Amino acid sequence: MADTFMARSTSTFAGNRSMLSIFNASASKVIRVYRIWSVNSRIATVTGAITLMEIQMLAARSGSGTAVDVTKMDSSAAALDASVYVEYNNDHLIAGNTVRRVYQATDELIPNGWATQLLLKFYPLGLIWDAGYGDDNVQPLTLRQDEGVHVKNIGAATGGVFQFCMEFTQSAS
Amino acid sequence: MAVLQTWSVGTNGTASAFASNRSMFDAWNGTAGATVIKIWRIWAFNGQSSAINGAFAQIHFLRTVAGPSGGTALTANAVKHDSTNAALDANVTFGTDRTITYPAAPVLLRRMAIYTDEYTISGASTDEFRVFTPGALIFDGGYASAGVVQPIVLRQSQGLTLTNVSTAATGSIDIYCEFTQE
Repeated sequence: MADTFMARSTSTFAGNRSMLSIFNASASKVIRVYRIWSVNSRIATVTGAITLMEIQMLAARSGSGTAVDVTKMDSSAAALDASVYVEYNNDHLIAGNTVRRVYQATDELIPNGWATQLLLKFYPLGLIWDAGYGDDNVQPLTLRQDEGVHVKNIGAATGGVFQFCMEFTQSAS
Repeated sequence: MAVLQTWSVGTNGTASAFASNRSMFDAWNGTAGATVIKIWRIWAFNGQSSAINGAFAQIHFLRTVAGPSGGTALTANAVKHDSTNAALDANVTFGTDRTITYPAAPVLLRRMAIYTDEYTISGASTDEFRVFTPGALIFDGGYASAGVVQPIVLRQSQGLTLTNVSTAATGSIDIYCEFTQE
């Protein structure tokens, strides 16, 4: 098994914001993104909106983002290469490559409700990218040197708060 | 099985509006050689956020036997999952609203009803459920049974269309297709 990491950010919606990104600037490591989740975690009242999210491949990193938590799945794994940047709210330039777009509803969670934004607290329903659904035939999103991927709110929604997680591996080839 | 060179291609909102008897998405392998396209997964997301009067559409998964024409090409939307993959064969194309040629005896792989109403905040009906990626998964080749179950295989001069065979003409969908080339 490859060394596996979980990136996690608590991301507040804003128009045209990169909610979570991984950019690989390393010449010696390959990053493979297997799964991405977008899960509602806002419990304070907010006026939510429907917003459109895109998973986009990146060809450059702007450098203006905020670093987010990255956790090893096994403490014996090698450290994440220092040239792999995991960030929130980075004003990335995109390569024009969208691999998926999904709508999300950013209203807050309430007890006893039954609506899409409430169902988005369940990780199985917040799974917005799943490489091959466990199929070894299908490539995950592979990030070689100077390549990245991010989840971007291309809509105008503001105020909601979601947990964004990316499960990825690091290997030499 | 080894990992195969993989792409994702989608409508990205391009001309994915429902219309009667419209091919909402199609894939065509027009290669003259041995290139094989395998379709592993297809998602159909609700792409409608402005208010409409929805209707029930019937989507049929049908084999095609000749190169499509007209419509809107989507091939440029195909994204490699790994930049080191070979180029996609120039005769492999994807599109929406293209004119399709079916075999004399139609080959129907699957049919599916979709309610085309818009996605609303705080809604909780089937049209809302299709914004969830797992809820939008309409075909999953082999369900990860690698080496056992075949995906939809497009050999030379073979294609697949997802055609709205109903009269539903409101709403839109975003279709994404995960495929390999070998």
